[in-house]
Amino acid sequence: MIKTLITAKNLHKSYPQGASELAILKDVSLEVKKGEALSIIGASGAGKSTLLQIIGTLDRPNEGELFFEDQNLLTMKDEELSHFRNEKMGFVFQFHHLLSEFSALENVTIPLRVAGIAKSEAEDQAAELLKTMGLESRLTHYPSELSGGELQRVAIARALIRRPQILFADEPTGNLDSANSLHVQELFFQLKESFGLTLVVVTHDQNFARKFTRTLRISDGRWV
Amino acid sequence: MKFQFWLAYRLLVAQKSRLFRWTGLISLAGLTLGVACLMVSMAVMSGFETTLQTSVANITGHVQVAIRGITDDTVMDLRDKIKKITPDLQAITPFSYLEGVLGHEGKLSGVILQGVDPSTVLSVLGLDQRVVEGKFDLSPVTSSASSDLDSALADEPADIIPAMIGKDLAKNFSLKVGSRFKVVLPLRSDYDPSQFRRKVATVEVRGVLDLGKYEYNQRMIIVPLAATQKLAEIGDKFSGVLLRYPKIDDARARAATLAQSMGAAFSIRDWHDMNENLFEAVKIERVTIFFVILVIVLAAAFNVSSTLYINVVKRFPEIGILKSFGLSKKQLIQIFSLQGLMIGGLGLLIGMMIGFVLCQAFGWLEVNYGLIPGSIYKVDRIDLNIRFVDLFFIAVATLSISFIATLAPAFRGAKLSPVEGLRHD
Repeated sequence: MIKTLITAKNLHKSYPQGASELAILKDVSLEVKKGEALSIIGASGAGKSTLLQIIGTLDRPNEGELFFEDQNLLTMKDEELSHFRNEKMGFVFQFHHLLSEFSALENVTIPLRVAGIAKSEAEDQAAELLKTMGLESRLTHYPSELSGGELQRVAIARALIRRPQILFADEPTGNLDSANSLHVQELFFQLKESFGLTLVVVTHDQNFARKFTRTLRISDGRWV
Repeated sequence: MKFQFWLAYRLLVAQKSRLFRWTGLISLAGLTLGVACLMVSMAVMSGFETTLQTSVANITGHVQVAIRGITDDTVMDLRDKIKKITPDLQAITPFSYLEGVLGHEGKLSGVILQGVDPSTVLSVLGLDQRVVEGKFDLSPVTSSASSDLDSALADEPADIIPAMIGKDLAKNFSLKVGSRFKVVLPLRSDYDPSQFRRKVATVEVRGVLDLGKYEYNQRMIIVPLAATQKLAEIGDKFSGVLLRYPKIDDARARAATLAQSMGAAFSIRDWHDMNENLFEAVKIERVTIFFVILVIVLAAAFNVSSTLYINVVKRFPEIGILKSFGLSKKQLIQIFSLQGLMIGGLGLLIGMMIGFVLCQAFGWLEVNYGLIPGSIYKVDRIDLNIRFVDLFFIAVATLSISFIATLAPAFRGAKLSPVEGLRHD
């Protein structure tokens, strides 16, 4: 039987808006199986990014439960949760979110250094991974010196450098031209296979979403 | 911590943080000036204390043993007795004090005649190092050595007392090497103890001393012990002995040991006891000045804090990114606190360098323009003393304040959730 990696139950998220509250997620539940490739689609403001951020522990719900295998992620203390996130989860965002004053190599080493891995070893691992992504000539380049596709590949390398069990991606191709978008899409599935990843991707690109084993649609904070 | 240090440094020097642009430079300059002020003031106060200490030790020795009761002890007897109690005794010399009035060319001034043994005095007191005119010479006056014809005619050379005098005394009475003057001494009448008779001594200046302390320079006349014994008509008696030990800092302990062992016939005081009020005042003044000037550092630290706060706000996106990749609150606090310590450390380093230069400039100005009025500050020259212990306290205070100043921005950064941070990009 395939193990369940993420279990989210009755998630509710709202933000105060003047005297009232703006509900973004309304009683959303979700299970993500190990090794699954799941895409979440929906219109802008439907709540898909918020859901991804909550199940990725980057944000907290107002109500609900969240488990990673049998670990309750909402009761973890900051230190424990940070360590957990560093070890088990990887993130790719629509905008690469690379640190602009650090080279490509340095950006990729950061999750390793956060985990306490020595600089030289972290650099070796990061260089190796960047080479597999065809970026061997860009190691010492700064984000301002890289193209859109290269930036996103560096961001993917940074997300995968800790060999996470699950990769969350929020509109990873949303900021790319069609050629680069296709290249990144292919890269996701190649890496999923070679890293044995579970993939949860939020996208509004129907063609990209169709390539996943399961697709869920969200609208107005609820599954449809 | 290596990673936190690396990240703290990289985020601090990066162009985006603008630390080394105007706002950062201004807050750093404030801290630097505070440290420099603190260093100079501590060097002045320590120098003042050391100058006083040296001056006192040069004129009183490390320990003074005054004979209080009646004793037939000779200097040799006392030396053996003291050596037995404090074996590290280095040198001993007898002394006596007489008070009198100096009269010269219509002017009068109260003076102290300190009788010293010319053959042993320099082994205990550093008087020869303080000669500013003439030389240290207390050998008897011969007729050929006389320069003042009138005085030579008035007194037999054997009655003229050779002397070293304080530099302010020389200045006030326009006395030079070879000058002679009269000192009037009150002596108790043999017939009626309530009455005094006067005795007049003729003194010849052999040299002028800078005794470091204004009171000494204005009142002190060093003469041979035999001359004071003769003037006071006390035979070979003396007031006591002055002692020297290898280290001046050991003098307090040695004086305490001697006081316990030698009994009530002797009054024993070390160099500090003899000027206790003065040294206590200097100590209190030093601590007060330290804390007053530390307020400058404190104010500067607020500037550093606000600069760092701006830096943290500017770094919200980076904080969000780093947190999403597992950087914990604790690690973030460490990073921003390290940035505060780096700014504090840099301010401390530059401040100390500026402080050192200012100390040198102070020394130069002091020599060339006489910055210190001796009548007010007891000494007319301070050899600035940059002590390791002062630097240590300045460093600890500056770094502690810098560290505390960074905690508010550091906690602000750490409190940020990854999502909040990413939203700012």
